[in-house]
Amino acid sequence: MKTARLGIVALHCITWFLLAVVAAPILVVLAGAFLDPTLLGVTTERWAAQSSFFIPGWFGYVFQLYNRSLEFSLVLALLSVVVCLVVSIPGAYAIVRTDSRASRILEEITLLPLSIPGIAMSIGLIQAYAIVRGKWWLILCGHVLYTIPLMMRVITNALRSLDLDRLQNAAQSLGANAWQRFLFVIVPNLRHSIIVGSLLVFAISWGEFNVSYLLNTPLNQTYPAALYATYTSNSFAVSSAATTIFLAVIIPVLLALQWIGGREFSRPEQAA
Amino acid sequence: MLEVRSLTKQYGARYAVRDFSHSFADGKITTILGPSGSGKSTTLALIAGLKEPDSGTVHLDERDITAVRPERRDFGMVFQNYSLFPHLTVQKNVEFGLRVRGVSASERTQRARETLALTRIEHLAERRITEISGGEQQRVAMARALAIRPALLLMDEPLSALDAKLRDELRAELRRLLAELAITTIYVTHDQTEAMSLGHEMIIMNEGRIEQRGAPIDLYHRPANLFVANFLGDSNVIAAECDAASGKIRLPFFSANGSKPGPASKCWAMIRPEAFELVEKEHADFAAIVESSTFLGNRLRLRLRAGDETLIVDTTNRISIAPQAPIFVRVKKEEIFTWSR
Repeated sequence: MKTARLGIVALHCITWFLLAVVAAPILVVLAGAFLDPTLLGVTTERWAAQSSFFIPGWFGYVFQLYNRSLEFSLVLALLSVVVCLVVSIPGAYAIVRTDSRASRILEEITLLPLSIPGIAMSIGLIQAYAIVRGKWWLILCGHVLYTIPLMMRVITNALRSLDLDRLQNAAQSLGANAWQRFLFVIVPNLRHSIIVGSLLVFAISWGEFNVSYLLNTPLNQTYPAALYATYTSNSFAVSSAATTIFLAVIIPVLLALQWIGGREFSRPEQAA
Repeated sequence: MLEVRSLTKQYGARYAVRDFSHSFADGKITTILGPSGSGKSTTLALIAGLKEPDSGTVHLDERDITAVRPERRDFGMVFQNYSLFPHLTVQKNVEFGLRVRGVSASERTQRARETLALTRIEHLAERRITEISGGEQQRVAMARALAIRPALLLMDEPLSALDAKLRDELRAELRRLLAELAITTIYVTHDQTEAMSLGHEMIIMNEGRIEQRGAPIDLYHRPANLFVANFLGDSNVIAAECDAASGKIRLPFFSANGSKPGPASKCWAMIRPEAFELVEKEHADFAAIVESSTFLGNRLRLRLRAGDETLIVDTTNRISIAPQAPIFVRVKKEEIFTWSR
């Protein structure tokens, strides 16, 4: 009895310790972003009084400096989501429907990019498409390659958990042709997985560094690449503010994923 | 009228359906009964077009529709597991067939409401499929199939997922509804009560073939072969000897002057549990020992030992019988059926 209690206390301690280890850097960044640097003793640099009530002035500076990168990364992440969806939904559907040896091999191939380091993929892209090097959409290609295995996985799993034949037969007996079955029955039943996959792809694309860094040009700089630049060349306050902006985008996405995941588990069994 | 000619479907070397031909009477319910794996659901899928026959044809009003895609056949279908669309409300499920036909939104709503009223679930229209009970889902499935005003209604074990009481209730209602709509219905089931009580005509299938077809009462009282005799209702099948000339049947425990002359000397005799009567010794055909008795509510089922044979005998529930008691039994001779063996 007593040892069991001790065990629980120990578990609590370990959990809180790990949480602290994870949270500490984020807290330091937030402190750096919002507190006066002189107060933290990390710099003697003083900022002019552009600060509004809560937002310190260096945020404005970061926006000025990295406005383009922010925009580029957001567009890149959204486009990655769109391309992944457009490719994965019909692709996964075809793979699950045919369920042959060839389709299983194809499925394995779609998962392959997961095991290739970002650097290798970037070099590969540069080598293979040297002629378009520096084009913004080569970075998009890299992001899509990097994220599509996850989207494929999420969608194929969802399709396998649906009773496709049953739904298809029912829809067909009611007069729905192949397109109508796909659009009115299959896709709506995948909506949950489509949202989860989209959030995942967005999160990964938004934070992706390796491919972005190797393929970026001064004109097409992703936000993580800009972050790297700011860490090497700007003050702690500016770097922290830039990082805070990064977190402000990614944390709601992660929370949404968490929330949807939780809802998934508490959802009642699909009866029909 | 729906007519199928020599439908055959093979999976590898095994015949799922073999040379199935039948004309389904207009406006009537035809039940297809058979053990699992007898090919009854495959037959339905072939008629619906969800499976392609290896050979044979399906004709609707003389028109060959074998090659017509299922979505163009206008057959309503109710599935065993209902196969409702989990992402849609009850109302939207019922509207689905109209939506893919391009019926306007207002007419869709109107017709869906009418159909929901027909199956008595108007009050559930806005519910999600996951929020309603099995019986209610069954009604939604029915409404969804009827909303398209199908030329033919195909039902694949529609009540088998429900508990006994609900099944009885829905069966009665289904009977009323189908009679009211006078829609040609093909109803597949493995439940004999369902097949006999719902069907104007009944087809018994086994191993992909039709064993017998006809009015349920005829099939029950005049089984065409041993399979039907064994399968439909409870029965005692006994190795006996039949004399074709005199019509005498010699059972191991007594000889009877059966009304049906047996075709050969060695034969199978089939006697239903309700064809026996418990009588006084002087009227008895044979004596037996009670092995056990089971109270079935509306009747008492006895297991009797007569010679080396064990017989199932049904009797009134108002008597009490002690195990191992000797008992005297009479057989209604006209209810002994024989086949050569």
